[in-house]
Amino acid sequence: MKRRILHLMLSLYPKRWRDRYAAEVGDLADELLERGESKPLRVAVGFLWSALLTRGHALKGHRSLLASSCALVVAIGAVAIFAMQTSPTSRSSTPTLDGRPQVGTLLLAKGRSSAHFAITALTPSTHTYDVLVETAASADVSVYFQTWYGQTLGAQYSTQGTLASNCVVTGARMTCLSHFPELGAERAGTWTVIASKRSGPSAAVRVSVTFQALPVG
Amino acid sequence: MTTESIRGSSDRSILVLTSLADGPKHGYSLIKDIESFAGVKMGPGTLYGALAKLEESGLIEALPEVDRRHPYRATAAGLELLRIRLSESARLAEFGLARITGAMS
Repeated sequence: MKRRILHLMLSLYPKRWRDRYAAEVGDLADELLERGESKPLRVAVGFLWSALLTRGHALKGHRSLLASSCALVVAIGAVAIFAMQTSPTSRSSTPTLDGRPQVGTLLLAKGRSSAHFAITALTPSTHTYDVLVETAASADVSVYFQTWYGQTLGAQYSTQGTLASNCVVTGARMTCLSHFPELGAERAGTWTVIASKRSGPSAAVRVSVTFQALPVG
Repeated sequence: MTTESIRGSSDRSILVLTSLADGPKHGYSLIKDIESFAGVKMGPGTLYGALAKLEESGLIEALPEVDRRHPYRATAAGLELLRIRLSESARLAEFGLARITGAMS
């Protein structure tokens, strides 16, 4: 919620500035928040102040326009900061997801079936991620991600046959671990984890996804 | 934007130029580098405020995007401005320290 408000605050900047820098500065803010290196309120106040200075520079010489523009920016910025402070589901009140498994246990019904849960993907260009899939040894399950921007990313194509070379069977349980490198083209945000199977008896699938920040340097 | 208005826009632009003096960097690297040599932790809004002014003035330039991030590089004009500003600062520091030494002796 706070991140969404921060991204909305980028609309306080003049359009020309937004077109050039908003995506970059939004990604940087996400990265700093994910790494726990900044607080949402600090970022928000920085955006507000910087937006004021940028508008002041853009409207230099137009005093009345500048005054009304700045007043509007301050008013909207103050409302946004207030909304962030009172937001109950804030990122700052939850521990960082860096290195913390995001886990879902999905029940796949008999026959063709699929189920899903949502995770928060940390910036893929600066994080690697591990996917651990646990299910019955006899089940043939595939797991993939659907990103918020429509990209499909395979995580485990099958838990049987040659596509399951990363899987280990222990008694009646199958455990498959995959490590993925940083993915420069992908984006942070909500990804849906989808587990599916084409046939066979019902099966429970536990999927654990852990994002890990790359060393700084 | 002129060199004079960069001068008046605070030391943030100088910190950014100093960081870029040894090679191109993207936003996150700039923040970490500036924090390491100056002890100043810039936020993303402040950093990009400075980057936008410097780019508009032709003192830095954006390089092609890498992993959705633009690295920035100081131009020859940016490095020359930095050299002048740091030389002025060094002269002022030398003058002030000499006065302090005189007052204390």
